[in-house]
Amino acid sequence: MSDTLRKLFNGVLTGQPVQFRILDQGVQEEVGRALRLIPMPLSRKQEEAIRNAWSSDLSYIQGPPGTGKSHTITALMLTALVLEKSVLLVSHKKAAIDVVRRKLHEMLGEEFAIYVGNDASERDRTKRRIGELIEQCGHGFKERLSTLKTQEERAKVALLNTLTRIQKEERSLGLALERTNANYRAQEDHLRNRAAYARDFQEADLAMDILSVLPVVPPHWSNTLERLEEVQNQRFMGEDIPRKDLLRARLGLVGYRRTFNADWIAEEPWNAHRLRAHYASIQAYDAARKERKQIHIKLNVVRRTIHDLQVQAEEQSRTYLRTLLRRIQLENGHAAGGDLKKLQSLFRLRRPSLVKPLMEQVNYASITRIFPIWLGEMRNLGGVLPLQSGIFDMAVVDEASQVNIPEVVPAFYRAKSFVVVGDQKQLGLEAAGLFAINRTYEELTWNNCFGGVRGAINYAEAKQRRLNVSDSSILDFMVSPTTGLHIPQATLDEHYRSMPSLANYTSQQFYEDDGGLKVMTEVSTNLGKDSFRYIEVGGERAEDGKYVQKEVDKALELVRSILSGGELGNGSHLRKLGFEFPNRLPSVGIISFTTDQRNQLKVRAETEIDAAQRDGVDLFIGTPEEFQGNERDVMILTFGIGSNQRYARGFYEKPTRFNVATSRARKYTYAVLGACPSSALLLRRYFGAFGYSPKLSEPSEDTTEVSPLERMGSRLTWTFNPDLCESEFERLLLHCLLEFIDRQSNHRLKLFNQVKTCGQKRLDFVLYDEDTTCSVAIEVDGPDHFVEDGRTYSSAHMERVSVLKRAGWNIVHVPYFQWYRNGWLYDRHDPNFEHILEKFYGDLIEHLGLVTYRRGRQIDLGLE
Amino acid sequence: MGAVAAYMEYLREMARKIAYRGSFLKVIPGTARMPSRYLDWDVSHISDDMRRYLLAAEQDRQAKDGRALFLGIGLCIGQTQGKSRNMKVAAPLLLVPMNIESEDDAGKELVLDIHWKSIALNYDLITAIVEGADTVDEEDSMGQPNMLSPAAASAVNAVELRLDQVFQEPGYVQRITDRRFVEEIVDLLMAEVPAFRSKLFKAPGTYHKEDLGRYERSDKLLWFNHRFAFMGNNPGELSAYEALNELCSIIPNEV
Repeated sequence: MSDTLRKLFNGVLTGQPVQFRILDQGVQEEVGRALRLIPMPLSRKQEEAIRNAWSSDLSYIQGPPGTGKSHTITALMLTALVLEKSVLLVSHKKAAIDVVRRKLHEMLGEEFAIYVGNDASERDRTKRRIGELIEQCGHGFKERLSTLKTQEERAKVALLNTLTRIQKEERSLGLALERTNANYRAQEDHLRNRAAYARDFQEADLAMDILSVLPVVPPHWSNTLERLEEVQNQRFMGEDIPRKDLLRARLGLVGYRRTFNADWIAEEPWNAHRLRAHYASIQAYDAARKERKQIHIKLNVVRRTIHDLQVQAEEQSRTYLRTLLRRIQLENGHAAGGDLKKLQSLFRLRRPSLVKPLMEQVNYASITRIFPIWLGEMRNLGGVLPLQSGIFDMAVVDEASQVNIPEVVPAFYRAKSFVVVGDQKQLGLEAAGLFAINRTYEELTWNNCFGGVRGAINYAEAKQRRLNVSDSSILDFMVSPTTGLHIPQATLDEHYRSMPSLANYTSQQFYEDDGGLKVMTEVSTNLGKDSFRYIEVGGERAEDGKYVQKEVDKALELVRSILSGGELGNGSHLRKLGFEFPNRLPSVGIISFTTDQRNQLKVRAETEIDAAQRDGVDLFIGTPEEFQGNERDVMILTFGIGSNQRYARGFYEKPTRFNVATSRARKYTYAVLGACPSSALLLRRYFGAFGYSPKLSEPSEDTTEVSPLERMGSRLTWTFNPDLCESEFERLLLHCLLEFIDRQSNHRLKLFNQVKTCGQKRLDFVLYDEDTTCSVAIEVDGPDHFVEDGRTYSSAHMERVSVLKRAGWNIVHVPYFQWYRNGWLYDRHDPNFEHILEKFYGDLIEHLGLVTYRRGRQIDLGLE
Repeated sequence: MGAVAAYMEYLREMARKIAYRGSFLKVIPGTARMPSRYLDWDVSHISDDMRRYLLAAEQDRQAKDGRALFLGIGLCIGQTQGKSRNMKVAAPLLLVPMNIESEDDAGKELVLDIHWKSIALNYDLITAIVEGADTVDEEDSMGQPNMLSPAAASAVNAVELRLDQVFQEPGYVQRITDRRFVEEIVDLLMAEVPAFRSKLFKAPGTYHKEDLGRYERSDKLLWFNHRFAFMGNNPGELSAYEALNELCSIIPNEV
């Protein structure tokens, strides 16, 4: 038994603390390097998940709905290749494996892995591939290997060079951003000082024509001013002042006046308060100027360079990984030709009596060096892989919340470390269609096995500790708090599946405790589009089953209406979402909470809707359990709740079921309900989040108030409020944007500000074209938009930008310092600034795809 | 035996219980896309008909992922009232997975492996018969489907123990293929589970495949002590059971 599996079982069964392996810093660094070499953009959480996987014997990747589990698994498997480790991905669903397989195929080319399946043509393909490799390891091997090594080396060097350049550019961008931030803060400080000075004294003392010619402010003026203040105090107290000191003070005043053009000193030579305030303003100005001078690069040019280099690196990375894999296969294949031939034979045989003896002759350590990436359904592993401990460095179990414990143990046995991927907040074993074994029966089995065992656990305790098979998936088994295992966990937090309001509901209702989800669909193409409708149909539960006829009728009516184009007419919500009759119909699913209603829906759909039409919308009707792992463009939720029934809250409001049911729609959800009992708190909260208040079917006996979620309505909306501008610069930028809009010959451009998106605090401005739904975010470089979490301004900024870019945002950055030089350049109609402004407008035009922009001199907006 | 070994044994037992599920309720005649390739089965010898049958079954299995050949022991056929509708049933009471292997590359010589030790009750059939009568309400069970009542569960347990015991006996293949063995099992279920008693009727004659339509139209659920081969979905966790069985023999020596 592998060390990890033994520790896992011992830990869970004995409740004793278990020390799992935590790898050292060197390995962490290696993983970091491997992550750089793979051609996939990853979020911080995705990176964390991969680091956890390689640095601990056990780890857990929690993937809420639509958050890129397969993407993360693919990246993890690619890092295995770079680290020259072997990895086995298993799931109980072929579909889940196929998603990762397709992604790996895109990265590595056609024959990248061994797929362990039952399909004859797949097995034939694998046999052929192994045969080709055996051939390549024969005549001409040395030349081939030498060529491959050269190609790999070249590809690696080219990639590393690009990565080094990216790193260099990012470093200089980071430094410049820090300076920009410092400049912004110093500038704001200067403006505050200046305003305070102007309030108390004369603004003209700090006029820009005076400040702009100031030399660098040497530090000795602080001492001089201290001395002057001392002399002034002595004068005030009527003390005798040594002549020498007085003379020195006078000289200081003359020097200060001359140096800083402070002519007012002639009138008020001994006003220390004014002198101090004046000097503070001068210092603030000087600090801002110094920071600005430190910014030696053109930020946007560097950003573009980085972007171009990243595109180049992705391509180079693909080339590198492909040559690396081919070299590994060829080199190791040559050294283990006999094993390859036997492996090839294994894909021909199925009869256990022949397979097993052959497996015993194969050196699997050599085989996994040749083929480091393996994928397969758990049930098929035994046909190709022997039950040998630790064949693979890592086993990854996808959809772990639906994998029962006995099913996965043989896969774990074959690996040294395990990663479980799933989500304990979605349905577990019940969604896997598991035959639910009666607890009495299971208890008998438990007692049979544990009878007479020293330190035996009784069945009740086993259930409570999530050890029993009928209640607990492998995910429950490993991550339940009762196990006390403390497995490293990374929760993926970028949601890409559903329309913003649907995703926000999921995030707020189910993942708030985990920090919430970044809703990556909060982009302009989804702006203003409805994604939810509540339909109350009335009706009662039928006498012969748990269904509400009116809900069934309405759900099928909606499907027919979609099929006939009724729901897709001009101006309809679905039309706005991009669907059209008859060629672009949405896929449709109907969820029923009760099995009886599901059966009713199925039977009626089969009899009332033509099979070809059902196929045309990929119609799937099921319970939430059956829907886990599936999604559709349009979902019709039905509940089977009538006005004449008791409300089984435990059933309807089981969070995992409700989470799955409400998170299956990509674009639109119709919620069809017979009646809403007052005790249906979760339901009421759900509808309330989209702005609906169902009529309650009974007077409330339950005095528990529905605690509302932050109401988000059924569509993504952004607003424009000029009062929300946080700085003078933002107000100036606003004027420029209004000017830009004014120059357009139509009114299709809309401006929004303080836009919350993708889990980010806010975007300063968003310019949106109603016709094309294109948009561009305008971000001011300098001010912090970030939560205080210990990160530097530049790293937080770059992370924010990469999140926004992954969501598809176009961003135009406006460096503050380019707009301010001894006052706002815009105000002075500075000819250099005109170029900057035209460039800014040009960027907006490019991102918005505009053609009607009229160039010309800027309009005087009378900002003074 | 330590806790780890005991737990492995428990997992092995549970793997066997959950291996067969989901698609064994109406195994004949199958569909146009997934024909079940029914064949009356006589284990005493392999006839030419049977060879042809195995060849066709093997081609089917190769063409469609996830299909496998089974021996069905005992046949329930007809209709049974579920919770909300009548369900058509044509299912064996016991299932034994079989494997066909080509002895040569040309695939002309076929060898049949019958995995007697993987014999299992048809849980789909049991669920269908007890559904409504011997299950716990869906809403009361928090939506967990197909919860068996304690009476049904303990009867299933008794049958499972019987199946386990039979392998301790010498000549267990003859014992299992003896018609009296399956008759004992169905008698036990009819005695212990009210739904079996009220829904299942022992047919007076023998099963004739030509009468399939007539049996299906019957409003009763008929029992035939009959053996047949058919193609069905490959049971997922059977490999887990076999692997755990192997592990159980390793672990006590390791722990």
